[in-house]
Amino acid sequence: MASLLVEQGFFASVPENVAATISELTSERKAGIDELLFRQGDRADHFYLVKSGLIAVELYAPGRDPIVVEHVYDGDVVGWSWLVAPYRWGFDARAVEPSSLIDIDAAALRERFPTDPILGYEVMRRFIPVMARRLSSARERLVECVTEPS
Amino acid sequence: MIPRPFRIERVRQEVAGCFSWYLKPVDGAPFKFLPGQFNMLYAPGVGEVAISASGDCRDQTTLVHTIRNVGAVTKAMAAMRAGAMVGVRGPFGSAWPVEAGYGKDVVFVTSTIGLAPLRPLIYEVLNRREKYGKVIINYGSRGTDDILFERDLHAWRGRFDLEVHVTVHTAQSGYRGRVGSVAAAIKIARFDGENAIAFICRSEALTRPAVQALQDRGMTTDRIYVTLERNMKCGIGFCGHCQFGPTFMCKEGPVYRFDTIEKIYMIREL
Repeated sequence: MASLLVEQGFFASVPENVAATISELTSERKAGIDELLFRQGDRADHFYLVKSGLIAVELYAPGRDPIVVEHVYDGDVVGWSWLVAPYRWGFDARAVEPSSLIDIDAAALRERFPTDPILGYEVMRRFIPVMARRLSSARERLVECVTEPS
Repeated sequence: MIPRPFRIERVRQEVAGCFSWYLKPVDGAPFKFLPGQFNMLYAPGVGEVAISASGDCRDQTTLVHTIRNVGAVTKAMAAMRAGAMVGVRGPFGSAWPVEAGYGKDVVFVTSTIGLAPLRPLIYEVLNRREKYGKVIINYGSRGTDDILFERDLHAWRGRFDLEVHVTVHTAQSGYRGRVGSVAAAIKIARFDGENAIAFICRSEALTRPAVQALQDRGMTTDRIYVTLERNMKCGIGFCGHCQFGPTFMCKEGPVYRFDTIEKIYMIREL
């Protein structure tokens, strides 16, 4: 599983001992079409690496169909709310296509950070660019909505 | 300049709040323009607006303009039907440098109605397809219901010698196309940043992020062209309404090579 993690890309070049630690908390998961990986408001105690397939990040909207705000593709990561207290999902994540995932026990991983700061650092330095990219993407689209009236 | 009379041959509703005019010159004489140039369109008794040509520059008998209904003049234009007479002054301004991309990969970056000023260039690049390397179109729209020139995009995506990325800001659940930002689409596009040329037409607030995304792929700003938009009035550099630093956008623009305006682009007072 450690080699699988490194091959997947997101954890490429992670130190061996860190890869070994994460791999202890890792399992494989398949998700069928329309299957929810997590639901807005639920406890955020897992995250997923997409090996193949397509995952939609959705916002639940009462009285209407969910709104897709981001698609996550092969090689990318789904879910970072497990890093931020109070550890609740801000969005739903749903498989749009049959998807093959690496499922990581984020709650257990998080618990190890205080005693293993290198592990925490290696994880954070991979997640922060994801968070920055998605924030930037959201801001760009927000600006476009304002500057390009429909 | 006196407007030349044209008759609206056809009005095509493109997406909500956006329509195209297909115009025929009343005198029958050909109308020549280059991709990226604009015309001053005159709605009799209402006023003039600057609108880029959005049709094929090789068709000199039909002039196509795609107009968004956002102001008093364009609102009046939206109410006009086939058969009505309008005035046209132009063509004005600089053009996309079609030949600068010879031998290079070509990357188009655009969103919403920004596809309209780029479409003549896309047509022209496809007319000369053998002169270029890879050709990539990155287009973004708000949703799946307001994709401009959707028929063209389908046709382009159907070609084996084009890579087309259409991304939407949001979509309904179950949608399998790309949802995200145009910058994310640039990241996955397959082109050689060291030997590519890019043409950007989108909201000016988002031009800089697009330039940055291209630079992240190895492109330099002397190979990135942008088109800008200001309040064009006279169209011939007399009135100064469209002044942008040391340039008049109606004459030296609206198409600029980005490195020539990069410094003034970030000056907030301009």
